Amino acid sequence: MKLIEWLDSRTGVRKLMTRALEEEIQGGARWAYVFGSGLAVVFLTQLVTGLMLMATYTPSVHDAWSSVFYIQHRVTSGWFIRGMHHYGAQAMMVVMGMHLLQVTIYGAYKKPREVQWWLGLALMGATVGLAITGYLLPWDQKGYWATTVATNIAGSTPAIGAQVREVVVGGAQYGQSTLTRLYAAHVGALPGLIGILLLLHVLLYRRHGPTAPAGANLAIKQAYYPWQIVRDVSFAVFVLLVVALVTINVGAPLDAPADPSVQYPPRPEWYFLWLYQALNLVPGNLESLVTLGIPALVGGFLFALPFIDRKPTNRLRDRLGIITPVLLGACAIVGLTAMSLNADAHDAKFQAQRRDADSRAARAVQLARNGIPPEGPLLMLANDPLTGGRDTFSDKCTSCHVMNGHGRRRAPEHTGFASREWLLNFLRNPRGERFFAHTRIDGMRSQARLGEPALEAVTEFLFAEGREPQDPPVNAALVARGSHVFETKCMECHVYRGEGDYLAEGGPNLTGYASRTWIARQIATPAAASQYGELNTMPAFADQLSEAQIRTIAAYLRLQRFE
Amino acid sequence: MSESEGTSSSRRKALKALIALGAAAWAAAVLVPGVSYLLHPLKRRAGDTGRWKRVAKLREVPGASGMPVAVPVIGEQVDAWTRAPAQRLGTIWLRKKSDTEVIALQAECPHLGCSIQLDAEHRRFACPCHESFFDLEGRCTAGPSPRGMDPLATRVRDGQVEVDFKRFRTQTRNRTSLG
Repeated sequence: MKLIEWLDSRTGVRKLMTRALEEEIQGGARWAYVFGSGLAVVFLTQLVTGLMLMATYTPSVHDAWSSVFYIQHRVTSGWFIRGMHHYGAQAMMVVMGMHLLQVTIYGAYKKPREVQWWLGLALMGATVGLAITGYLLPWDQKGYWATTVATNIAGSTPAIGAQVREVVVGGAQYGQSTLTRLYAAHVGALPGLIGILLLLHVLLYRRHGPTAPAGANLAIKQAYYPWQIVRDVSFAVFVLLVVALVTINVGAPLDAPADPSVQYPPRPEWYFLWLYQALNLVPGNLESLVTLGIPALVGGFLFALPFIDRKPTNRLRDRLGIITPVLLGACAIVGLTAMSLNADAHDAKFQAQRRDADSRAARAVQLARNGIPPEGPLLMLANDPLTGGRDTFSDKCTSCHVMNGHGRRRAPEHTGFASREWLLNFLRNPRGERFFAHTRIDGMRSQARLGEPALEAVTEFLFAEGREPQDPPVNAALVARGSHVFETKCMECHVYRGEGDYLAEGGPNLTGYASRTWIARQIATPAAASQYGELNTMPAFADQLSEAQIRTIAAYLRLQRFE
Repeated sequence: MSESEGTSSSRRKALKALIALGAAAWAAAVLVPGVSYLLHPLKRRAGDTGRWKRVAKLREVPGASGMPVAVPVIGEQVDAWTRAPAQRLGTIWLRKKSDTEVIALQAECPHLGCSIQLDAEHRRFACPCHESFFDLEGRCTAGPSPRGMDPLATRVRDGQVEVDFKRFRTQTRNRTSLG
C-alpha cells in the first residue's frame, strides 16, 4: 500500500475519500434513497456504451443506418453494447420517474433543498432531450418519423415556433443538417450539460443529505459506506441486470432505413405514448394545449412546488393537496400509456402497416449483409426486386393488374405470373377473368382442344424460356415435347427465334417469354411489334420509369413464377 | 432500522464484499463486451478469393529495356459496411519481363508505406519519405527499407494484364500479406 501512501501524501485523497464515505445519514440508510445513485450508474453506463458506439456510428444520412446495421450485425459484441445503450436509455426514464416520485412524496424539494430540486428538474429535461435526439440517430423509419412529429410539435410553439423548428432541423427540410445537429446535441452538448448539472446536484445532496420521512428517528446515524452504498449498488446492479436481460432476449430494434416516400405508422417511444394518447383524445384545434401545454404545466407545477408546499412538515397526511395531483398525474400517465397500447393492439390497419415495416426492416438487414452500395441503403432497397420492384409495381401497375389480392382487374392478373399453374390456366382459357377478359386482345382461343398432356408440355416449354442458370432445373423431356407442340400449333401466330407468325396474326414474340428481358421490353414498349402491337392498351413506361426501375420490376415479376 | 453503528464488523465486511462484487459485475457487464467490441479489427476475416484485377493492356506495358509505368489498381472494395465497385485500391509499377510475362511491383514502400516513385534519371525507384532506393527489379539498394519492393503475381488473359493485388505488412524482413 506504499503507492496509496505516496498518492495520499501528494493529494490528500484518503481524507477526501473518508469524508465522502464516512459521512453519516440522519435517520439511517434506506432503500428509498437508491434511485438517484441508480440513475448516476446508468448514466455512466450510457457514457461508456455511447462512446463505444461513437467508434463505429457515422452521422451521415447515407451511412447512419448502415453503420448501426454494422454495429448490430457485424462488430463483435456490437449488439450487446447497442442493446445496453438502447434499453439503458429506457431504464433511465423509468428510474427517473421513480426518483421524482420518491423525492416528491418525501417532500425533498422543501427548504433548504430548492436549488437541488431545480437542478434535478433541469437534469430531467436534459435526459428527455437525450432520449429524443438519440431516437433519430439510426436514421431508420421509426426515428425519422418520430422526429418529424416531435419537431413539428416544437414548431407549434406560439410566436417563435417556425424559427425553433428550423433551428432544430437545420433548415426547412429534414436531412444531413438535422442529423448532424441532433448528433452534436446527443453526444456533446447534452451529456456535457448533464455532467455539470449532476455534479452540482450531487454536491448539494452531500451538503444537505437525504430527506428522512416524517417520524423517522433522526438519532439513528449510519455512514454511507457501507450501509447506504450496499443498497445503492444492489439496486444499480438490479437495473443493469434487467437491461442486460432485455438486451439478450429482445435486442435493440432497427427499422428499415428512413424513407420519406414509404407509408409508415409513426409512434413515439413507449415512455411518450401517454402524451401521444392525450393528443388523440382532444379535438384538433386544442392540440398544442396537449403537446406543449401539458409539459409546460407539469414542468411549471414541479418548478413551483417548493413555493406551493411551504409547510415545514413533510408528513403525508398534511400534504394531501400536493401529493394527490402528483399521484393522479402518475396514474394518468400509466392509464394513457395502457390505452394507447391497447388501441394499437386492436387497430388492424396499424398492425398491418407495422407488419409491412417489420418485413421491410428484415429485408433491409438481409440485403445489407452482402454490403451496402456507397449511395446508401435506400438505393440498395430501390434496386431490390422484392422491395423497390414491388413498391413500383404497386404504385404504377395495380391500377390494371391484380397482385396478391390488391389492384384492379383490367388486364391479366400478375399473382404467380408465368408460373406453371398460371401458364397452364392461361392456355386453357386465355380470355378468362384472370387473363385477357378485360382487354382488347381477343385473338387467342382456348387451346384445350390440344389435350391436357400437350398443354402441360407447352407450359413446361414456355416456363423454360424464362429460366435463369440459378433456377431449379426444368423437365427437359417435357420441354422437348412442348417445343414440338409449340412449333406445330403456336407458331402460326407467335414468333419464336425469328420464325413464325405464318398467318400474320401478330401475336407476341415468345422467344425468352417471361424472362427479365422480355418483361422489361413489355413494360417499356408494350405496343411494339414483338409485344401486343395494335391491340395493346397498356401505357408504355419507358418515359415514366427509369431503366433501373423497369429492370427491378421485371426481376420482381420474374420471381412470381416461383409463387 | 436494524443496522446501527454498533453492528458487528463481520457484517460490515460482508457488505463491503457485496459492494466490491457489485462494482465488479458492472465492470464485467460493460467492459468485457466493450473490449471485444473495440478489438473487433483483430478478428481475421476469410480473405477474398479471386482478387485478380485487370490493370493494363499487354501491348501498353513497356518492354524489358524500357522504364516501368505506374498504373492504378481498380476493383471492388469492401470497407466496413460499404461494398463499392470500381474503387482505386492502390498503385503498382509494371514492366515486361518477356513478350508474354509482366513484372508487377507494389508501389507501397515496405518501410512505412509511402508511395514509391520512379527516379528515371538514375534508372531506379526511390521512396520520397525516407530515402530507400530500389533497382528496377525492386531489390533494395540503399535506405531503411527492410526488404525489396513487394512483387505481385501477374498473368495475361486476352491481351490484358491481370494482377493478384495484395498489400503487405510493413517493417518486416519477411513478406506477410494483409488479409
